Amino acid sequence: MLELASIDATTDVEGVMKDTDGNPTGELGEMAAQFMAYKVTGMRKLDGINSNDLWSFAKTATNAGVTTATDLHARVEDQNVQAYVEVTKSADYPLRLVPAAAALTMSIQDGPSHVAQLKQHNNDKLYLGLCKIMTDGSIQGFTGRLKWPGYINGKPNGIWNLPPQTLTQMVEAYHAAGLQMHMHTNGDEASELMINAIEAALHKNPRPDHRHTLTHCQMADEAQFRRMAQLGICSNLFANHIYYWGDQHYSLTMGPDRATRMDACGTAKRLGVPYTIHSDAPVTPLDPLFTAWCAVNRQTASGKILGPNERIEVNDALRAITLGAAFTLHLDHLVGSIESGKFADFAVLENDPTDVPAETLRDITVWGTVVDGIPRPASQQSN
Amino acid sequence: MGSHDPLPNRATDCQVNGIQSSALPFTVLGGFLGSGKTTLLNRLLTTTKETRYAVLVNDFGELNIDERLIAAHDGETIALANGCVCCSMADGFISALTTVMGRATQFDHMVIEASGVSHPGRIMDIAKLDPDLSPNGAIVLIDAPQFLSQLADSMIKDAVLTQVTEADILIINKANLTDQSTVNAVRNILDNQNPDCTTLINDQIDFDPSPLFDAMHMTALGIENNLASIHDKTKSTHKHDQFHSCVLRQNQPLSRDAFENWATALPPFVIRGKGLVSFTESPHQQWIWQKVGRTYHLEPGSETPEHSSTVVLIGTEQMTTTMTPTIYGPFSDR
Repeated sequence: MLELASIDATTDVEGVMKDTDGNPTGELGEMAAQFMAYKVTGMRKLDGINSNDLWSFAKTATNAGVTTATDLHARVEDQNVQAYVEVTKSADYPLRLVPAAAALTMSIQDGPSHVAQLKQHNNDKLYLGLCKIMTDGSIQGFTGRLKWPGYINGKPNGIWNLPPQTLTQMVEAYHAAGLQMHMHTNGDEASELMINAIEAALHKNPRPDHRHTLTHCQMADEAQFRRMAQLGICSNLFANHIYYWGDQHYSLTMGPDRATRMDACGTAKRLGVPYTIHSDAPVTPLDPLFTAWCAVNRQTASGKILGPNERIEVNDALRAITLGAAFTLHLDHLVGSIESGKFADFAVLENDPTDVPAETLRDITVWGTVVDGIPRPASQQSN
Repeated sequence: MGSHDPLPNRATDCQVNGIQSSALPFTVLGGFLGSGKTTLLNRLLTTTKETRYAVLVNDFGELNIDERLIAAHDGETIALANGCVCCSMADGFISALTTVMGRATQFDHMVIEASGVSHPGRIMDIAKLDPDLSPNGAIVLIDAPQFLSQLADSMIKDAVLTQVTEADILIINKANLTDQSTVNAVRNILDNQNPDCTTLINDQIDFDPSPLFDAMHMTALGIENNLASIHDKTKSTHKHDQFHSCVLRQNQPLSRDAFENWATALPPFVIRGKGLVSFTESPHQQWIWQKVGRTYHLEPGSETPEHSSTVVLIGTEQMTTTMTPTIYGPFSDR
């Protein structure tokens, strides 16, 4: 592929990773190198979603004990919406879907009304109407926007996907339209921008119980959590990052001080910020019990415990992956707990997670799920 | 695309004027939100005559193209009657770029409107990697009235300064909306940040931006003139930096060293240069020379019985008043 793209030792372009001898390793970061990869391999953009994709995703979800899933950056073109509607109308479909419309693919003028109109397609298993704002990049890619002192290895600050002013306008527009937003904020400067934007939007259009949610919200400090609590902002913390990149964050990106308070479930709980935790699948695997294990143990891939004071109890983590998530989706009256009047949705586990050592939470076998009162065995049960 | 009539193929044009290399010139237009990119692109698209631009924009809505100029509107693409095409990047940059590259022979020039926070250098990397594209400069607009307050905002300061650093041509835009001392302060910062860059000051809404992109139509090279000739292409009423061109010609093959020394030392007020040159080492081999801002490229062109060299320079008024050997270089042999 490198040969086809004429990428060799003489190529001097950001994102073409090279080994110590100066030869390209094959790892291509950044847009330019990725464009060449697409070009020479004939790959175009990914096609839209079809019903087969949604059925196979639902199978994966069932295997992991998931009964409601949200795609927190969904394209809401007609083809995708049709696929959502088609599968969710089937009684056999074992999953409720909450696709959050990607606001950055729409103009600020047209986006809010478009997202509002999508609600007409909703049914018991489909909940359109949420939207997603992308603000910064990723911390491990050094593209997240960080407050002082920035990246500890001296890398320049990360990137905004749009000018901060435009992102602020976008928040105001979707909020004014009565819609709920989830905001991608990895770095603490990105969280700051969105907290400021929500605060400004609330001054213009006061609205109780908006439940706007900072997703990832990995580096938020305690002062930011206090503001979030005051403003009614929820957090969706990326607990899996502690395991997958915690060691790197400790030594390469944000350093010990900030790494030990990253994805601060303990602080969110203590300050009363409604919170849930996530895998960001396919960035890390879909497995809520593993995600809960991360929040409870805060153990990195190398075995280090990263900030024991931010650990939460097993019961807190179980609530975060059920009712906590439902709350941030405005669906806690329908799912997230087993109660009269709500859907009969739950995961069926081979062991009681409150009755095993907290270190083994991730090892519990999932039998399958019950969705809408119908048992849905995981793949391993069907033989 | 729909049933829109096929446009003439660029390869044919290449054979006619012989100067265009097969790669499509690729220009990045950068600048923070509100710096005037959309206005400039609108001018470029609606006033161009010879050059067919393919422009990738962030949002059609802001471009506000005159309906009468639109020949076809098909989803993410607007075709103009003058052969230009405008493609929206709403569906993603790589997707839009791939769409336009698939029809590259129908255009003479590609322009990317960078988002207000993009790094122009990262976008230009595409043209450095892709042999079908040739880097043709990063033009960055500076919002004269807002620039100093942008630098005081920690959330955007680094993006604005990176754009300055990665520019080949800087334009201090909207200078008419602020005072002279602010313009001077802005200019000082730009000179410190990117000392080799060509920096222009614009105080007009309706200036013709095409020379900044590549308005040196090669017909100009046909001018029979052994000496440098100066054209004043602009109206004398304009006070600030306007564009002037000069044609330099030399009938004898040039020493490559002398040529490259001259090209490297051209002062920043020479914004662009383009030409066909032949060197003493192999006089029948013509080379295509292109300069934008502080950088230039030399690439082999076709074989020719002629040994002559002709280049066109575009610069500010200073160029016409500084007709010294720095400008003439190896062409000054009369």
